[in-house]
Amino acid sequence: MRRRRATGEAKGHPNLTPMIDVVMCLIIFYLLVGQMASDQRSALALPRSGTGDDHADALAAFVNVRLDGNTLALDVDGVPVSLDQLGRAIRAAPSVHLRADAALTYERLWPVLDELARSGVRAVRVAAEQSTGAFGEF
Amino acid sequence: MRRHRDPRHVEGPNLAPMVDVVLVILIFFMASVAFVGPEWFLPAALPAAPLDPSTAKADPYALPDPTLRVRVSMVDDRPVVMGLGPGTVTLASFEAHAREQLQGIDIRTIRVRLGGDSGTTWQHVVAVQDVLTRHGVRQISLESP
Repeated sequence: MRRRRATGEAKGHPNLTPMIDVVMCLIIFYLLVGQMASDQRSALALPRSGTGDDHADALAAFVNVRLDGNTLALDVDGVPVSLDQLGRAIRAAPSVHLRADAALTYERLWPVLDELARSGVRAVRVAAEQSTGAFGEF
Repeated sequence: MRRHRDPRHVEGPNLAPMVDVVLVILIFFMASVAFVGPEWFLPAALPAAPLDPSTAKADPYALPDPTLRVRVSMVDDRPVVMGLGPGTVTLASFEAHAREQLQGIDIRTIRVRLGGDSGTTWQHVVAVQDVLTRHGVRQISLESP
């Protein structure tokens, strides 16, 4: 005797509901991960480097430094701060990841490094874009 | 007259367009997360206690500082590196120069204070740090311009 199919599931038409559930969960996951990542990392042209490790501490403070016109623009995890507020903004973080625009002059960047040192930060992790390490263009 | 129902007919709305759209959105988010992704991190120390050079006293009995001071400068609009071995080399040839200078040295004992002079960019400083790290130098600190 042939078994009858369950109501609503005809031959050749699989039930899509579990797939839609899983796909929706994946979308929410990637949406949240993308949002968190973009909060921490603002869009910057990072310096290129052929070495380093790719382990980013999730609890670290990401200090983003760029030039906005002629003024230095700073943010910590996406929250704009002034140079004076930098020490307070990173106080609770176990480590500091420095993401600075590659085109910034070292002179312009130094006050940020100096302020971090004055705030008790002994070391930073310098963020760079992965590169194969060609130095011919310098 | 009553119509016969097609046995392949499924009750409810057609979900195929929605599944198409949802999959496109999923691929978009996966790709955007991948673009945010790959970054390297290079460790660099900061000066423990920034000193004002004008107030620092020179100690006549002090031993020579065992730390190398590597500086990046701009000469004729080209970045050059000095402090590792004799003379000055262009940043483009610093890789080969560093390999030659660091050959046969116990690299674990070397400490480097790295800085850039007026006009050098953060990219130049990181490029030197990259070369030194690649050759095994682990103790690099950044110093004032």
